[in-house]
Amino acid sequence: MEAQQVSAKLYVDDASGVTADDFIRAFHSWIQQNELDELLIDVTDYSHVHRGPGVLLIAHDAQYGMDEGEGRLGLLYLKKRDEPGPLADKLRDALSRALTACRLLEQTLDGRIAFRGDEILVRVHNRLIARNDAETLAGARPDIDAVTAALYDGVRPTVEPARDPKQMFSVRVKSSENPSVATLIERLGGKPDAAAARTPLRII
Amino acid sequence: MSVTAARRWKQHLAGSLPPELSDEIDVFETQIELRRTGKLDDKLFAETRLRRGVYGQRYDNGQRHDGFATRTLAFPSGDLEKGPGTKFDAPGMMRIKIPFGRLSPEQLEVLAELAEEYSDGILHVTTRQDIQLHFVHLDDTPTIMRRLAAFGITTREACGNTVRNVTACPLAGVCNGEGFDVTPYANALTYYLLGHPDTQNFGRKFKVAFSGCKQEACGLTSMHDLGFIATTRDGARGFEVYVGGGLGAVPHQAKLLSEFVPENEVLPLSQAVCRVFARLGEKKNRARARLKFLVAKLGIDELERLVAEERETIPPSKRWTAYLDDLDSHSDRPLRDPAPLRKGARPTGDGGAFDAWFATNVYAQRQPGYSVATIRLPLGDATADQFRAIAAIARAYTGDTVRATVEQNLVLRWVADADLPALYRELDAVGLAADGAGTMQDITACPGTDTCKLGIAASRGLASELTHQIGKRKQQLPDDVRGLRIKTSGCFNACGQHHIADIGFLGVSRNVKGRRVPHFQLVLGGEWKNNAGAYGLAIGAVPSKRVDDVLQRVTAHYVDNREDGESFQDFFKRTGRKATRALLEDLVVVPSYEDDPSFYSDWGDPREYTIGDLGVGECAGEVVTFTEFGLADSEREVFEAQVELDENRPAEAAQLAVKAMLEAAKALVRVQNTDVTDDPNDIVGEFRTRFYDTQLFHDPFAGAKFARYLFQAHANPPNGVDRDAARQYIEEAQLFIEAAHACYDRLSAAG
Repeated sequence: MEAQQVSAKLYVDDASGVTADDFIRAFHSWIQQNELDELLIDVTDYSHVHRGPGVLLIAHDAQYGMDEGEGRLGLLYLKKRDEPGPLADKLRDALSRALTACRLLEQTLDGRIAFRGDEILVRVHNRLIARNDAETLAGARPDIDAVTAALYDGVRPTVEPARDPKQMFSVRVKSSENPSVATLIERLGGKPDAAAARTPLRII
Repeated sequence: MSVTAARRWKQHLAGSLPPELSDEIDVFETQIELRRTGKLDDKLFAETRLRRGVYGQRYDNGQRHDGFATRTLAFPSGDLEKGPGTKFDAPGMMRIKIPFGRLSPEQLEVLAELAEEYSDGILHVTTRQDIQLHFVHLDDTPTIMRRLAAFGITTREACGNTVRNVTACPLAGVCNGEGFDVTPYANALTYYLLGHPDTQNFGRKFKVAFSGCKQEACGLTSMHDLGFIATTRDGARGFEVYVGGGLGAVPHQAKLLSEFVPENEVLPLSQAVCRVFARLGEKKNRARARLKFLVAKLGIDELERLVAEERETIPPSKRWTAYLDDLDSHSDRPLRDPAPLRKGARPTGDGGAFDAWFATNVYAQRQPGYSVATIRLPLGDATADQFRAIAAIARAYTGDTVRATVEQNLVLRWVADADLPALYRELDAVGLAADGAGTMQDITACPGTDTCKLGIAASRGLASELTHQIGKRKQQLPDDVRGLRIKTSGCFNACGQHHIADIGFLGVSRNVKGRRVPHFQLVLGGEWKNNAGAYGLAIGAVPSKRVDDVLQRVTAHYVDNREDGESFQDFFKRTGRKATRALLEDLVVVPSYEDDPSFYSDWGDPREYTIGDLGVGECAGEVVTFTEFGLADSEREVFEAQVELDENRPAEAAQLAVKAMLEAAKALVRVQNTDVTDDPNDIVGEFRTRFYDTQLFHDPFAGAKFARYLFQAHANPPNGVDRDAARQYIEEAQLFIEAAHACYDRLSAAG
């Protein structure tokens, strides 16, 4: 299936030790230290909004956020601007960037936050190319299965679609296995510590 | 999104857009391509896109200070710009014009989709009842426009030198005190002036508002270029009409143009005002180009004569009165029969949450059995999911429209009283049942440094912090304190409408021992009611991190010392600004950076607020001291000018205001020439040569505007001035001094 504007969200395991302020500081430090392979522009805070996008790191054609949607905190990567292409490629890229950011955040916050590896929310932020219906799901399923098979080492996860047709096309991938973020990065062919926080934060 | 996706959307929506809107958007899409290939001038394109609601956003010049230094943001478009100093593919803001804030459920849903697909997922309600999306890319804007147009929304003339969104009281049609429902008139004027040839040649923007009554805030007509207040004469409908109001850098109260304009004259009269403004309004000097300056220059009597003369020359149009045959078509229709909220039907076991919400967020309509419920949006923000939920709730309970308010909230009208508990539960389920609408917690804030190019301080960050702190102590607040309104603006342009708040805050910066510190000017005594009946005056700048302390002290002072029934405004008029300033003396002191670095960053932003390398040598340090003294003296003098005005001595006030400007100018001149004398001619001459001609004083956005205040005051010293004129001298002096601070900051930063 062809897709664009794909997002991936990984959920926080335990967020009791961190606040929105920690994320604001972390994201500013990523801009200062050019931590990600993106043109990073600014940080914006929507933590005052109920179940909103939380704290966002705005990149030129993407955004990273500590998303509070569904009432569950997680890191959401969204590719905002790209040309249409195979969903499998788009999903792999979104997951790879989301996982890299999760790993970096774990390191930046000195282990005060950890992400779960057993659940991923995947969305396509383009209703023209992907309506939230059974037809889109049928078209998307082979690509989703192909990518998640690699992620979960052959253990087939469940794929739950969102039912509301007014929502974006959205599926929740759940696995019985709960691998670490580092493991998931490796399974996607990446290096888990390629983008580690290098220097202490220099912010007030 | 991509070019491919844009093409697909265009094909998908073909035939579902009004042809004229479709054509306009096609033209705009072509203009984007022309600009991309360098075939359209950047200035022309900038005004073109502004007139389509496509606005710039902070850092779109490709520069951002990351806390250590200014870094270049290497946008892929390189040097290509979409306007002077604005990178072509830097994300920007999209302002969506929502006439008088009226939104259907279908419109709410398409807005939600657009926020999710092109923006950061947030819909922001503005102080002009618009909706804004942030971090939007230029290439996506034609598709956004098409998807909006398919639901009857245009972004045309949302920005630029045009007639901006026509606002109106969100209670129009259901208010207990209104003369009549102003909705159809606001609607007719919106679409009559939209794209009208007589509104395309303004020197600046033009704002229109409708109010159903005189005594409430409603349309805030006193701060508009053109304001209408519903009234009747011998049973016939008409309007009291005001012109020449405005906030911004130099606030003006609107003047009465006519005590009664019959309803059939609303459109032609407005057209005549627009024609006079287009013909005689300032075009070159943007700082003097609003209608308020033309009114001040000509006088209201002359303007009235010119408008009447112009009115006679306009060729008649059927549209002037056609809508009057169908006034009822704009009335909302209730979905459900009226039903009272019975005793015992109120929810229990919620800790009083419903009762608290009911007390502040529910307004009993004129129509028995119905209420208006206000949805208090924090900082005017809502998510796409919340907008969809509101659409569903509106369909279920009111069957009709939702209206945005100038206090950055939404209201649901025609809720049957018996449905209020169920409505509350549904709102609560999506986080939209916060109580405190119209109270101290319901703070209005412009975007400020979060996203606005002109922001000086974090008005949203401050508002968020104050909301949080006030929330913690709200149970202890007396009712008349809790009911005070707070408004924050990130700069002198006053988009947060701080002038008309009981307690207003205006973002400024101060240089403390070579480092910048975010501050807010405290503005007290503005009047929200009576259609923005009075503007507050500045008390002084306080460090951003001490604003809540200031707020607590000011309100405690009022509570402890007020006389029986004395209003907040009357109290501060009686006790005077001098005493208020003295009350805050210890709070304006900024601790050293070493003692408390938190003062040197703004709310919600951990970056240091300073710019550049601030190390200074000893010689420079000495000069800095002279300058700092001089700037402090100028602030004192402008404060004294305010006191003179308070005590009804406008001539003295104006003289002091001019003196304050000279003091600030002299302070700056001393950076380069310590021998400057006290002779005003010498000061102005030196200032002109060293700071004006060299453009050192020029504000990055306002240019030479503030310097001209000094030259004008020096060339035409105040003589026989009235209160309005004196107030203007004071406002200009404050702005000049702020500009002097900014100039000095730049010089310090440059070493």
